[in-house]
Amino acid sequence: MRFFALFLLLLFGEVNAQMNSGARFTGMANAGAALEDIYSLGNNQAGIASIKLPIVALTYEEHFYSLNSHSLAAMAVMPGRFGNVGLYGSKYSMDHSFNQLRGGITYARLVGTKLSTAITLNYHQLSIPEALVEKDLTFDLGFQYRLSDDWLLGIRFANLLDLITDKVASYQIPVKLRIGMSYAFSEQVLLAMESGFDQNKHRDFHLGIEYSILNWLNLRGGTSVNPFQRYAGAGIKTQRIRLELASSFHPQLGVSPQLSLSYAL
Amino acid sequence: MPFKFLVCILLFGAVQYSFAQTQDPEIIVEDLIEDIIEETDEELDFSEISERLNYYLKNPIDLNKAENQDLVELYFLSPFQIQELLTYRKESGRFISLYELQSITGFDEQSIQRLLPFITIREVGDKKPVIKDGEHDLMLRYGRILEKQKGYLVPEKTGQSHYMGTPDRLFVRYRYRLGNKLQVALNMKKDAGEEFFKGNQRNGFDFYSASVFIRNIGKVSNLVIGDYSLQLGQGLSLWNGLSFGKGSLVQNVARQGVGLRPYTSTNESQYLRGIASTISFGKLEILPFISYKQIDATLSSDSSFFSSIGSSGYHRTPSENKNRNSVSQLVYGLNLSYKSDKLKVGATAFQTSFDKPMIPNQQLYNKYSFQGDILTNSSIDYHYTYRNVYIFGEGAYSLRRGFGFVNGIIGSLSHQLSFVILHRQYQKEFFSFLNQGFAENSKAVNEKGLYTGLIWNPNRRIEWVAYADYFKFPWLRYRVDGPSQGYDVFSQFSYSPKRTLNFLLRYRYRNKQENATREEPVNKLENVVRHQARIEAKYKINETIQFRNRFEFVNYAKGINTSEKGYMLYHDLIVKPPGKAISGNMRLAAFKTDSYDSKIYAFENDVLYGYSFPPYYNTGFRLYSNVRYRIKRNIDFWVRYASFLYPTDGIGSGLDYIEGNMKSDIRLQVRFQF
Repeated sequence: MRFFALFLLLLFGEVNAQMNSGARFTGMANAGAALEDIYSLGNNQAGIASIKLPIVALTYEEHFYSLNSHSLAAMAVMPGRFGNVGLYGSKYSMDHSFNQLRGGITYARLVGTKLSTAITLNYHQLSIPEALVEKDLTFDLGFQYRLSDDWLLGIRFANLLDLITDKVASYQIPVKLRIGMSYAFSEQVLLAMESGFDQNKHRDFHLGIEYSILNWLNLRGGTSVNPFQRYAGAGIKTQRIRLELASSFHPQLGVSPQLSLSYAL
Repeated sequence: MPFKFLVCILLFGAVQYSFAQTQDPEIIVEDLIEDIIEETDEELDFSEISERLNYYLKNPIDLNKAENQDLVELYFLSPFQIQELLTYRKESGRFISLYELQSITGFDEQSIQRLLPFITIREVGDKKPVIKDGEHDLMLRYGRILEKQKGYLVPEKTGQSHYMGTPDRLFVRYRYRLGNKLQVALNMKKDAGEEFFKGNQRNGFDFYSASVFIRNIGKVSNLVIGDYSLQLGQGLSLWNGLSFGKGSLVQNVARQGVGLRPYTSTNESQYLRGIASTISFGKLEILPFISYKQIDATLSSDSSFFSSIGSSGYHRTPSENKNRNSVSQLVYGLNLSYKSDKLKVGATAFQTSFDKPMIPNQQLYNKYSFQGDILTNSSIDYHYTYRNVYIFGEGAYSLRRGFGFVNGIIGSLSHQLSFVILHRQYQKEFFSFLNQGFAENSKAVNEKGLYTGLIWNPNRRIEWVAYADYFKFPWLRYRVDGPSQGYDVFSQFSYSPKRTLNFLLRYRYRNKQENATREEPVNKLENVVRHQARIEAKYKINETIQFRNRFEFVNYAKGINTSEKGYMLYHDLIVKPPGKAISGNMRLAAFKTDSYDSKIYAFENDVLYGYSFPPYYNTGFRLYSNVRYRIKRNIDFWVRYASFLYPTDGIGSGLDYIEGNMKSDIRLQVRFQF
């Protein structure tokens, strides 16, 4: 049953179209469109525009636990005088019989003091050994607008311009529009929401909360609808290092634990 | 102390505007009821809430003396708010002014407005009541549906179902109250279609309920002789009366039982009859109880066992009368509890037995249902407050059957934001006849789930609440031939730009499984998805006139083949001239739904202590009007007329069928207070 459900998810592109955006975002139900972090490289890339220090991150996720399906992603942000550059690379594989690679290079910069923008070139590669290999290039555009000290709006157009149309199978990288907002109640509490739809008219909604219970300890939780999933996570941080743990909880497929580590140089 | 005075003066300046806008108690009751019961096909009596709130309106709670239990009785305060209020009093000393409420964590504008009519600060202590202070309250109500229903037209032939009595409804309610020491309550009721002083009801009314309630005599803090209700822990084992489920009062999923109270409602089941008492030894309380009563149950053909227990309280037809009082039920047990400022722990054990065994119908979904004539239940419940966190729960065990657990946490993350998490796990074998725990189903059995909610008050004018609940039913249920699951998502945004204006937006999404419409030897499950959206505005034109508008939309889909829509729009006019003897309200509603499945429920105003919550379905109009007239200082009179009007003939089904296109109902009520 679990294999069948997973098969259905793959068929509808729910799992493999997701980018691995780190345990902080996962803990907050992946409602990351209006969050600012290195992990924005796995969501709305405009979130890296305000980063001031070079930073690298590594994140690993076991999808639905015992199925031998996992993903690994590495990210880096290099701040520069004329904007920030981000690099993203991830590999998602299932039992060595299904592999998906994704690489991206992002250029992000602040326009004025309130607007962050980002453009990303993505490389996608899907391979099923002895069956098919597909390669694609797409673009992402991301924007974030700071309404006030507490409010941030985010919008992202993902997988635009499918540049290689020569396809073996019907596998498709859907064009998506993602909209989100975040609100900081205080220095301790951050609420984030994200919604959107793709060209297959799939709509969803995500809501997450981050609570800094102590200076060095964050607790996170969230819920998404369509598909209905719960999320929870925690993170510890020092001045340079952040270690984060999170999981999504799918009613049928179970837990997908994730571990992320970032280091500011 | 001088500092407190200063705080009060400062606060007084800041909040004078907002304190002018205390809420109308009737609206509070209405909101609460809409919150407790979103949908029900049963005609329930909610007077339990309004009676209690009306009492506190006349006899406000002294904030400097209030205990947890007194504040719980107001229903609308969350456990967290109550705890914060008591902690504030303990740490800052006696309340000097009600304006101090503004400085207590968890008290937003709306909560304060709701609370103000029911509280006070007394300079002097309560005086001891004497006999001449006793208050009598006698109320008589008459009602009937004006059109002839099929049940009254069918000739009395054997084997043909019909209503044996008249369509008149009668209700008599008497209360005597002596301060907060003694209360006597008597209810007598005849439903439409029931006989009166003849046939099966030779004693007159179909339902009699009476109780004597004595408080604070030595160590006996409560004593009830007659009909009583018990609300213990989180309701997994023992809870009578109304309880909060999923609704816009998100924090109230944490149950706050009031313990022992006299039963004063007219719902004809879910109460206990006998004697019960709370005896206090400092922080320790002992509550022994015993109850013996006749209940309605569906008897087997040879009357040697029964298959189910009836709760409607209707005894109109020969078959309903056959099951009337057909089984006797004995319940006895003991509850112990320990209370300190932050912690409460309770333990309960009781036994329910019948004079005949219960053997449910031999259906697969009943495989784990209770069978037999005796059931022993036990449970342990707790709640504890630590800083900005309130944890609560109950673990219950039905002997030789199974366990049920509910545990939750309410936390306040900042002044603006609170969250709720509630986890429940009720085994399919777990059972209690008096169970009313938090659940998607009507009873907390055969269910697992996780409920999470958020409450956000960014400022005094805006409130946003949301919850998401996921649930699983490990075993089959009625009309669900397989393990099933579903989820429920809710969001409500309310905005009051000024004190005379309030907007509300609400959305609810539910997804649940049930058998496919087409019956087959092996039924497949289909998803039943219901979207519900509501827009509402309430506005006061002047001190006398208030308008209320609501638009509601429902989309109902079952599987891939059935999709339905429903709309409803109403306009309410509420007239309350200050200082005048007459007041009233009316509604005009238009509705169009594809069928009964896409029905829309709406709370309706009624005579005092009367309730209507009818579903609006098919295409038609709804009109009602209530008028209240104060004949003398102590005599009030109410009249209500309500009707449904449809474009085509034929309303309702079965014995309630009306041939015409109109169904109208009238109620008359008079109250004497002396």
